[in-house]
Amino acid sequence: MVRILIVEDEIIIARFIERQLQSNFNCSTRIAVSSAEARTAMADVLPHLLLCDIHLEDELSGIHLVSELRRRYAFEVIFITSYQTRTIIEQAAAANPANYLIKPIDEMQLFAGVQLVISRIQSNGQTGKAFLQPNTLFSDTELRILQLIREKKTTQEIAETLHLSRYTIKNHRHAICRKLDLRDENNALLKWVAENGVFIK
Amino acid sequence: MLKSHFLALEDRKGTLSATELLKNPSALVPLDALPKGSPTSYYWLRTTLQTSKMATDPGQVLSFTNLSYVDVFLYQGDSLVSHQQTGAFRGRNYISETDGRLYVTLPLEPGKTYSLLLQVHHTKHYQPIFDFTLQTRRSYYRKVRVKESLDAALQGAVCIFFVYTLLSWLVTRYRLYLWLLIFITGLGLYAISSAGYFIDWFFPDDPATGWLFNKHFLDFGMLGLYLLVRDFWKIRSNYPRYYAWLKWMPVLLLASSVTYILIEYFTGNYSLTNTIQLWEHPLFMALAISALITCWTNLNHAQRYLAYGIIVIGCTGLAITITSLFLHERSLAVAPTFGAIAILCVFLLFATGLKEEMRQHEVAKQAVLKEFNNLQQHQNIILEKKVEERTEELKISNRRLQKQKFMLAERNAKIETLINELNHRVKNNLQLLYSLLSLQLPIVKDGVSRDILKGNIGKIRAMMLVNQKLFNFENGHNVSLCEFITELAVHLQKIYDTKGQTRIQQNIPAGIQLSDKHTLSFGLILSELFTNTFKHAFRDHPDPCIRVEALTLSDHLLQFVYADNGNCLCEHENQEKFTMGIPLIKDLTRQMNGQMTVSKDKGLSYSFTIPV
Repeated sequence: MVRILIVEDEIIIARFIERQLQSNFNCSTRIAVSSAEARTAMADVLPHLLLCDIHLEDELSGIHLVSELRRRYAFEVIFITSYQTRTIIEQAAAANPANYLIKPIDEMQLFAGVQLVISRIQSNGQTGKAFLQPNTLFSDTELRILQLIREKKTTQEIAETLHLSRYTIKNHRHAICRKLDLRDENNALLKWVAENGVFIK
Repeated sequence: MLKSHFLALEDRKGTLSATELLKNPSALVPLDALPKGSPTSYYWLRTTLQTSKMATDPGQVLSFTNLSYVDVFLYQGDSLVSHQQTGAFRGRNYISETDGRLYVTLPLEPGKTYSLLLQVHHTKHYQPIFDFTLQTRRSYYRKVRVKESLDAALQGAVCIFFVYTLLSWLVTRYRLYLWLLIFITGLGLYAISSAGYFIDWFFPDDPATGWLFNKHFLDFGMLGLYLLVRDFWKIRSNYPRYYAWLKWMPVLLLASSVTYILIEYFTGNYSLTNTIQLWEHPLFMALAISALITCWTNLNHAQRYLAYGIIVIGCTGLAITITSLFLHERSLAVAPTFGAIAILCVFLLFATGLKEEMRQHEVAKQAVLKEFNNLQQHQNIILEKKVEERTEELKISNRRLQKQKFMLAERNAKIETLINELNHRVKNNLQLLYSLLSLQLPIVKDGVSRDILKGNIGKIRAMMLVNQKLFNFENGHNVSLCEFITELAVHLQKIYDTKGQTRIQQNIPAGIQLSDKHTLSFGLILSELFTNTFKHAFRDHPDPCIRVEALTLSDHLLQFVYADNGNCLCEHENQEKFTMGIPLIKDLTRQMNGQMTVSKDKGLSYSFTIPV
């Protein structure tokens, strides 16, 4: 099931979009009518997809909101907005959206715009999670080690890069496995990194 | 000359009288044989005069130089013909009209023999010199006249220069002229005093006192010269080490003056002071020479005139000193003339120097002024240039601003047109929707569909009202709540309550305003509330009434209450009909970031808390 967050300050429009999504896709939705609501909802839902209006609370805060959330969460974005000037579209492009839909929008346009993105989300599984932040689950050093593991470095190579002893690195790897509830073997960690590598910043 | 004819006697105590000596001629010895005695003793001189029978000149004058007191007794045989008093220090009242301070006119008659007795008392401590001369009055007066006219000419010149310097000083206030004035005053008075005129003019009755001033005039003049050199050559600033020595010069002059006046006043020993002064001269000479050597190389054209003057003074001083060494007291006869001529030369040199200096000052001043003028002109040119540049810049920027203004005005006009167009479209479209739905209303027979259609017409009406209120430029972007509710209520009543039975009670303070952000949501909520009430609450109600109240809770919080007195049982009966209404109201309240509570009293009562 794909999790979708709709950020739209006109609630009637948001309800319309919600209805369309629910009838066309196997998804769960949530509506946020302001940036503040969006931030809270983001942490609760960890959505795969964000449908976002650019015009929130009388300003162009949609783009800022997306840029801000991108630092902490992995998700796809579709902007749905009535703005069609070149400069605003360019600004929005900087936030790397999956699509850009221009209002007024009807059921078919919405379906087509969202369909492509949802199929991509279902195929690659690189969205719908928060990035690993330092000092939450892992320490700085552990995150750095995870990055190096993602780069396919051996324990020996990691030790040389970080100017630490091989045994220290081993200890760190054990700690990471414990935190991730993995069985203490090399392959388990490698597998985890292969699956979740994109969430390591 | 009578010197060789005199018989002389030294009278140390001054007790002898003329008659005693006349009776005792053997006491006198020839002057050549007289042993050298005390300079201050009384001396008696005697000689015999034989007048010729054919005398053409009736007056014979006995003259001398310098002797302080001389008594002249003239005897014919034993009888006293005349007793005349004279001498350099003799008061005027002692001297008869025909005599002077340094001469007497003897009343000699032709063809007779006289015996001449002179009592000489010289108080100045010089060895007295008995240079008595007997000559005809005419030849003596001629000599005196020559000397006096020469003196008068020189002193006149000095006076003129004095006045000239005084005026120069008064006019220019140039300090060096004051020093020059001191110099010329001192030396001029010294010359006048040395020649005896000072005594004649100011102390005729007490010549000894008048003579006391003589040397001090010279010192005064020297002080002037010292000051002149000091300031003109700028010794104080240019040669501070040398000045450390030179600054004691006035003290030295003062000390010597005080010494002279004490010695001369109490002892009358002019010979001693003269000797001291003679020994002082080399000191002053050395000072002058040292000053010349020290400063010469740095002196400019004007300042060198002063140096020439000092050299002349030095030479004159040397000459006077030498004459004084050889002639002793008799040098007083030539010194004044010498001095006066030297003063004139020196004064001319000094005055030329000062004039030159002033001219150079003037030249320098002119040069500076010219430079200053040039600078000012240059500055003016620069300033003008700057002003021009600035003006040009301003012109350019003005043009640019004009262009921008024009462009802005154009753009403004365009924007206004666009906004009007947009406004028109929005209104038109809303009107189209409203008209379309209204047209469809009679066609739809199904009750439920009619209700939905009516609800939508009401909402579009609310939107139209909001649009109309908001895009009124004069009122800004706020809408009066009271006005808004009244108008909306009227419209909705027209749609649902065609008979107009429902009372609408409003209690809304006039000042409450809604921001544009919230107006539409609020309008939709209101429309939904009215629709609900009209549709469900007042079926067969005898006295339908709607109450609308608002009050401000705080600066940013508004409480809004909507209540009807309708049939609350309807809520349960028409449960499914509320499904659209209440959630929409909740959603819209959420969008306004507000709170909503529903309560049942007589009818339904909705209470909203909305941030403004």
